[in-house]
Amino acid sequence: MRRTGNTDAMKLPIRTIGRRDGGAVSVELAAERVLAGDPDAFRHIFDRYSRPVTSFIFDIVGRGELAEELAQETFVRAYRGLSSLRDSAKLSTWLFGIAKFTAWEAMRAERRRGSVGIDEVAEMPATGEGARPEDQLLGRELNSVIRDALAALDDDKRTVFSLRIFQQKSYDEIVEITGFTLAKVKTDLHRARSEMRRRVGPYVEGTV
Amino acid sequence: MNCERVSLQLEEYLDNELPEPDRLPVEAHLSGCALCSEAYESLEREQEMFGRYVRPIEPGEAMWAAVRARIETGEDPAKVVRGRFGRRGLFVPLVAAACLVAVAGIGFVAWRNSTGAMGGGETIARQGSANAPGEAGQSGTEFPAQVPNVTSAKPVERVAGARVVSRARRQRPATAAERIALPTPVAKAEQNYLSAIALLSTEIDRKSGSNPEVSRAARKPLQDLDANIRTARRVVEQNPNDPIAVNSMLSAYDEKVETMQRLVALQARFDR
Repeated sequence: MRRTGNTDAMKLPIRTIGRRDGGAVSVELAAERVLAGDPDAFRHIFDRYSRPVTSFIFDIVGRGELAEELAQETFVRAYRGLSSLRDSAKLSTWLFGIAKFTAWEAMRAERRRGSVGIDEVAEMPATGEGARPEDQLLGRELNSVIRDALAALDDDKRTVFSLRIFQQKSYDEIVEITGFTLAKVKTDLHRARSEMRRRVGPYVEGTV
Repeated sequence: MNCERVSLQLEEYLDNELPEPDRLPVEAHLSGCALCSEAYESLEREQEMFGRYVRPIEPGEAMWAAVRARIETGEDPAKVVRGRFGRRGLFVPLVAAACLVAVAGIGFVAWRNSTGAMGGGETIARQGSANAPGEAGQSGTEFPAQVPNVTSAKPVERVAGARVVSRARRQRPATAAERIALPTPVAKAEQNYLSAIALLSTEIDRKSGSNPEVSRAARKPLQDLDANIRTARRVVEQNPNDPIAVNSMLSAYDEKVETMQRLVALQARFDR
């Protein structure tokens, strides 16, 4: 039976995974080390990308718990499929591609069940730790406003907007991650910005 | 360069996506135009404001422990994701299609009785030909190559009865040499989609006589979806272990099933 993923890596003793070696290892090197038989190195990839990947998935699905479960899924898939990564320099793009598919897959499944999670009301954290109470209040309000505005975008625009504005991906990287054409990426990004501006703008004008 | 042209390029300029020859004139214009300069600063403020967005997530040790545990147990990720978040992801097309046929059961039986043996045989023949690589079905849909398999007719067997079984079994299964094997979970998923598509195709064909305009309008989009499936499958055949490729292919199937379900619903509405 053929298995999906990195069969060589799966044969390795997994007990070493999770130890930190403390050294500064580039994620590209970490990917090569995992493939070369050092599963411990996958921890570096997780440490580097767990937050941006989970944030990106949260932007798509709109629920913290689900986003964390899907991020977990993304990393398991990435580990299994690491051997299919041809260029370790594109690890980030590849990982976000898996995250996008995993999130969209879950969204489709939820829509079929008749529940779309993006509109779930979540307790939004305040912006900035140790901020003054009034700033925390403003931060929480800003988070809610942005989150609601994001939720109102369609899936394509929300994905493109998150990748560009929050994850700072280049247009070419967004093309690779989403499979959209460059023209669609530009159009969706422009429209997403306009829609976000329309919804968030009144709040910003009063506070920024 | 005038203000109107600069405003069109301002976002790309902010994103550092303008090529040098386009970037320099924008820069020159901004340095001399207060209006455009203000618009640019507004974009920068907007960017800074989005940078303050904080999400209620905490990917840390607990998540790593879960990832590690799942890697250790060798759980099949595709199975888990579809099971946990979309159990219906793999099987819903089949279930949905079966439900559609069940809902249309009375009509189906009535149709079979009214058309007699020949009518039923035509439907089965269409399904058989649809399963053949590269041949277009009656509804204008074309199944992707390499997956002709009699097991895809199983749901139809349950619905249409013993006669269908006998016809379906006579279809020659593809030999191992003809099929490009996919990893087992992927092959199973694909088979489920094909079964669902076969059912929906039969339903669409059945109603195409009374709604020829709807069927004609749907032909091109369905053919485009078939092209997507073929392209995605070719990529999977070349990279059977690439989760992105596999997801692309299954997404393409998913999209086709959803489109066909909508078409069936549309046909039913026209019938009313």
